[in-house]
Parts: sequence; C-alpha cells; structure tokens
Amino acid sequence: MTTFAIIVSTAPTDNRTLTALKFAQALLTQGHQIEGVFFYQHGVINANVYLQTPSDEINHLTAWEAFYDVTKTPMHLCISAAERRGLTDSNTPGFSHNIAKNFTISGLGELVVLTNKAEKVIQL
Amino acid sequence: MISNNRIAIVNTATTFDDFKAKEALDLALIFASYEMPVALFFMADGVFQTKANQNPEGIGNKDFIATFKALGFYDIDDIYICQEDMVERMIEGELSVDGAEILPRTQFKQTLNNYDLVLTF
Repeated sequence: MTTFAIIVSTAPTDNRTLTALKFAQALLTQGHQIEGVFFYQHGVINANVYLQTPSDEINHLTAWEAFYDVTKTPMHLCISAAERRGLTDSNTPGFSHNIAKNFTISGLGELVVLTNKAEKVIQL
Repeated sequence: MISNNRIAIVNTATTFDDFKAKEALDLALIFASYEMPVALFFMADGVFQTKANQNPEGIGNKDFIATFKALGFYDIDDIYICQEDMVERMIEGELSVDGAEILPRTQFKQTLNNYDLVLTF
C-alpha cells in the first residue's frame, strides 16, 4: 500500500481529466490510499456547478462529485486559481457561490501539506 | 518513508502561454515559504522565461518575470537552464534569473533526476 496525492491541472474539456479520475479510482481499487486530490490551474474548472455536457458525454463535475461520495477522498481547490477562472465562494451581491459542495476551498499551502503526507505525488 | 523533500518545478512553456509560468512561479514560492528545497528548471519553450526585459505591458500583462530577481530572498538558488534549448531559440544576452546554471541537455537531465518530486508546467 502506497499513499498518493494527485494534482489535477486540466480542464473538463481535456482528456487528461478523465485519465486523472480513472487513475484515482484504480489506485483505490488496488488498495492504495489517496491523501487528497488537488485541483490547480485549469483543473479548478471541474468544480463549477454550472458545468453542463450533452447527455451522452461524461460530465466531469458529477463524475468527481460521485467519486467523492463513494470514496470520501478529500478534493481541494486552489481558490486563487479558481477565482481567476470565474469560480467564487461568495454570495455577496453580484456573486453566486458556484463551487460544488464536495470540493474543499484551499490554497497552495494545502498542496504543500499533501506532498509532505503522501509517498508519491502524481500530476496530471 | 516520505521522500518528496526535494522539489523541481520544470518550466516548459513560454512566459505568456496560458497562465502556466505564473502558476508555476506561485507554487515554487509557496514551497519555498514552507522552507522546502525548490529548484527551477527551464527547458523547451520554457527557456523564453529566462530572457530579461520582456516588456509584457505591451500585451497587457504584468511583468511577473521581474520577480525572478527576488528568488534568492526565497532561498531558491538552484536554477537550471537547458543550453541546447536556449541555442535553438536564440536566447542570449541578459537573463531574467540570477545565478542560473546553463547546462548541456545530458547534464540537465541528470540534475533533474536528483529530485524527488518533479512538477511540470
């Protein structure tokens, strides 16, 4: 058993995002442990509650949400990367909280913590 | 045994290709502020970041490359640039980073192999 941290850097429109999810699922299936998934760069877009896809395509938001519901793997979001890309946890006038509930709002400091906790760090 | 102690941030993108260079720098500074040893590597199109005086105001961008000069204050002293990639892209003259080692590709790769955690931008 090895402990992992996973960094998701790609948008829902990028095929590597699904690779990250499949990789995370495979790790757990094989008995490894994931300390956390960290969403950075365009990866933060996967947490936007308004993400929509045609019914015959994978919706990466709901896919990650389902992954969390089943595995309770912490999913961290870099808030400064997120705010640059139109996500907000604010409900003040003019804003509407659009970060999906299973994502923990974090900063890069959390990524430092994860890399210290995990034996292996995988960036996708 | 946790062995992600030595971190290499590898820059492969030009300064204003998407937001990769800035987000790589932000991460390097965070690791450094937690007193973890961080090295910066510049290869492929990433070598364009090592050119001084980029004048990004002309395209409406902030000159975050100017902060490369302050890397020493964060104890980021290990900076490596791939020589062949510089030559191919005709990068010469003043550098945006102080104290960088310009290494031939073979040596550049060997140096990178010494790091526990490699993050690529």
